[in-house]
Amino acid sequence: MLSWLTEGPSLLPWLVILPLLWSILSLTAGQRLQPLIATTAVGLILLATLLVLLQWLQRGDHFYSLGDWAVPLGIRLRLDGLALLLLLLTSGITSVCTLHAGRYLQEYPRAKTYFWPLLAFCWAAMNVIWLSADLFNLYVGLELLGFSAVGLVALTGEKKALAASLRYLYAALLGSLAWLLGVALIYGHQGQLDISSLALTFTDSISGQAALALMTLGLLLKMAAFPLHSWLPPAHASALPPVSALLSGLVAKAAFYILVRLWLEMAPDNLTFSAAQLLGALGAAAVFWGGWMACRQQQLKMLVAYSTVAQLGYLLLLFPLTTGTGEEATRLAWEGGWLQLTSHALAKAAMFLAAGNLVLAMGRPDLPGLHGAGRYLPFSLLGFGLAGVSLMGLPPSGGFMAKWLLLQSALLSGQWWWILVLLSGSALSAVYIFKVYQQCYVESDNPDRFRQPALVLDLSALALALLALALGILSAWPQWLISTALPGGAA
Amino acid sequence: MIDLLLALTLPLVALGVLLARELFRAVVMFIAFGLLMALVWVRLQAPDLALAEAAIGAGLTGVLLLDALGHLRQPHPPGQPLRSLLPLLTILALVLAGALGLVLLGALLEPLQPSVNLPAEVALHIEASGVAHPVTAVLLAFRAWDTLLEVAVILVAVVVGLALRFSHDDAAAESRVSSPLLQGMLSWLLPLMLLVALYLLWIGSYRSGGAFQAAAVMAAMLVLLRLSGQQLPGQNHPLLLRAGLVGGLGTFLLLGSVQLLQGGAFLAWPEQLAGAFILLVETALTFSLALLLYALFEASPAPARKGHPPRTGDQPS
Repeated sequence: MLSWLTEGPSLLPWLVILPLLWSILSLTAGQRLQPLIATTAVGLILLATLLVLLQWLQRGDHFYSLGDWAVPLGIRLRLDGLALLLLLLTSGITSVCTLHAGRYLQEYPRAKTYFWPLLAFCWAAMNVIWLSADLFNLYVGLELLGFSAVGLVALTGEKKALAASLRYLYAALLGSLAWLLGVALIYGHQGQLDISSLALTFTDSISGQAALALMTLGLLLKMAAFPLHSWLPPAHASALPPVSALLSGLVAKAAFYILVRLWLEMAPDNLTFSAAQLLGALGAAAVFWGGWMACRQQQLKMLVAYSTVAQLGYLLLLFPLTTGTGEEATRLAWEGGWLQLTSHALAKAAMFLAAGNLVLAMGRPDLPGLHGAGRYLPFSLLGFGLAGVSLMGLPPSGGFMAKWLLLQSALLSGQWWWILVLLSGSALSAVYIFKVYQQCYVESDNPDRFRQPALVLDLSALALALLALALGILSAWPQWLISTALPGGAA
Repeated sequence: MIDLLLALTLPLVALGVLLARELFRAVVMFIAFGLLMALVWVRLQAPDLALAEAAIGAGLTGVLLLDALGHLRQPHPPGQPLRSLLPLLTILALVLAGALGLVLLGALLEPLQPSVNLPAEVALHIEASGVAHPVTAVLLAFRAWDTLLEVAVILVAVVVGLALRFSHDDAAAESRVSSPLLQGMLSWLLPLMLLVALYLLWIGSYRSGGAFQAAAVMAAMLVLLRLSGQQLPGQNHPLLLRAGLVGGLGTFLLLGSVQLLQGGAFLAWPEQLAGAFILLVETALTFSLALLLYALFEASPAPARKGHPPRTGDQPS
């Protein structure tokens, strides 16, 4: 077994092949077979992820040349600590969402037909992006991810969801086109597309600068950074809960992941102090605006969606805190930034699932509809609350650990203004999360309309929330995993 | 001279698409734009792109847009709140477009610094790829991974279309044109189109052509058949139809995994059989893509009939 792990063929392509096979099978098979196919596929993908983890532990970072064609002619997949972290996160969250959806979709017989293939495509697209080391291949991955995500939002066919998904589609397409134009400029000027090779030869030029600007703009639009965020809340709020969890937890992070690869890996010397500060400022604005808007929402899922806008803003602080700061501050920010992504992915997925359960149980999507929920729903509320603990950044959650690291990094590099952002952002999250709680404990005059959600719905939300909480206590291993991928660091 | 004319007309037609007051006029301009663009590709000696542009950019997209236009019965009143912002937005768009144009011009004027010469690399390894045409070698050997995923992208688009189609009432789109001229033409046009499609598929291995172009021609054939009101064979077997839709991606995946299962790399073709494998994949892709492109047309929802508003959405039961 051990020798197979070190010398056997790498299992990386299976992480895309398996979800693609799943989608093909689920498109051709009848309704009755879907649970069986889904269970088998999720099981196999989880197994493949686990084996990829073991392989990485044995042999460290490695590449996989598709079709045995070497770079620059061919395309290669790349596995490092960061890619591995996101693969693990994706497999974990998506399989819990699958579990939740299997029960939840029983209420939506029409949406069910096409949910599974689109989910599988979405999963495949995310794994493509985490593993990709090629600019054009990333474009294809973004297209696949964008289309399947838009399809998942539109799935219910409700008027609101259709309008939101159309807006989402426009944003996704515009973002992809900007990215593609940048790729064309880089390819025209440098003649190759592999990120690691480009890192060696990337020079200051008009084409290079223009390409970076265009690609950054496209990615900021795709990750809903302030002020390009307005497509996100309606799209994430009007989708089915397991879809919202997937989109907020994972899909929105794909663009950020590529942004980091682009700047910190491909063109680290081109990221000037002011550009990094600007990215950070956009993040800070998102933290304030998203938090403020979340406090003002009257619909539960809109509130959670605006909270995503705010939480994604923290991620952009990674750029100012790793550019031109000392070695220690850079390391702290790097670990804190990715830990923030991990804990937000888990906590937000949990919160959307819990919010879906609350809405299902109370039969109303707005906040006053929650009146009286405190009497019946300790389980759903527990999931929502535990996720909230992590979002607010209270100890011992993963969110606390992440913000603590970012805070230390900001202190160390003397950039006190980001500390203000971190602290007031947490205060704002506390306001909107307690607002939900307060509504739940208002006594209701009509206590009879309550419907207990199925146990598996509550358990899946709770499992993710507990993971987000545990991330703070057990952060040593993820932090080590992240630190191995520090750009320019001793990996 | 021709180049100058093309370079001048293309932006004008593009402006025409944007500024046309009527949607119908804009769509027609868009089709003209696609055809001109195809000519530009011909002048740039990229016949593969020209074929794809003419078939997909002008042809199929045009049909889709016209079809969509047919469903928009009542003209939409222009949004009032936007109207007051219109001059501002126009100026903003012009400034952005100008800035982008300047940047692109700057990029165009600076000297290239290719760190590798990819065309030379392709020429060096084309022998090993199993085909003689460099474009096909890139698409199905060197960068087959991208092509595989692109096929998945098209499939996703169709799946989304189908998902939304079935969220409305399943009234069949009755959009048949009963013209004796069309019927008469079809009887000799269709075999010809089929022949062209197969020819494009076959020459893909050593000249410009290939699965995407062949599929576009074949899809156009299916659209014509449908418009003339013919029953397509297998039209009423949803399972058969879906098998056809996923067939291309499935074949690509399975053949790409042959070497993988024997301990080799994913998407590596067996040494002696590379040409045959690529032809097999291309054939499967042609039929599947034709069906996919056609399904995009077919999946457009039926026009709402008076008194029967389309049922939207899943009502939780």
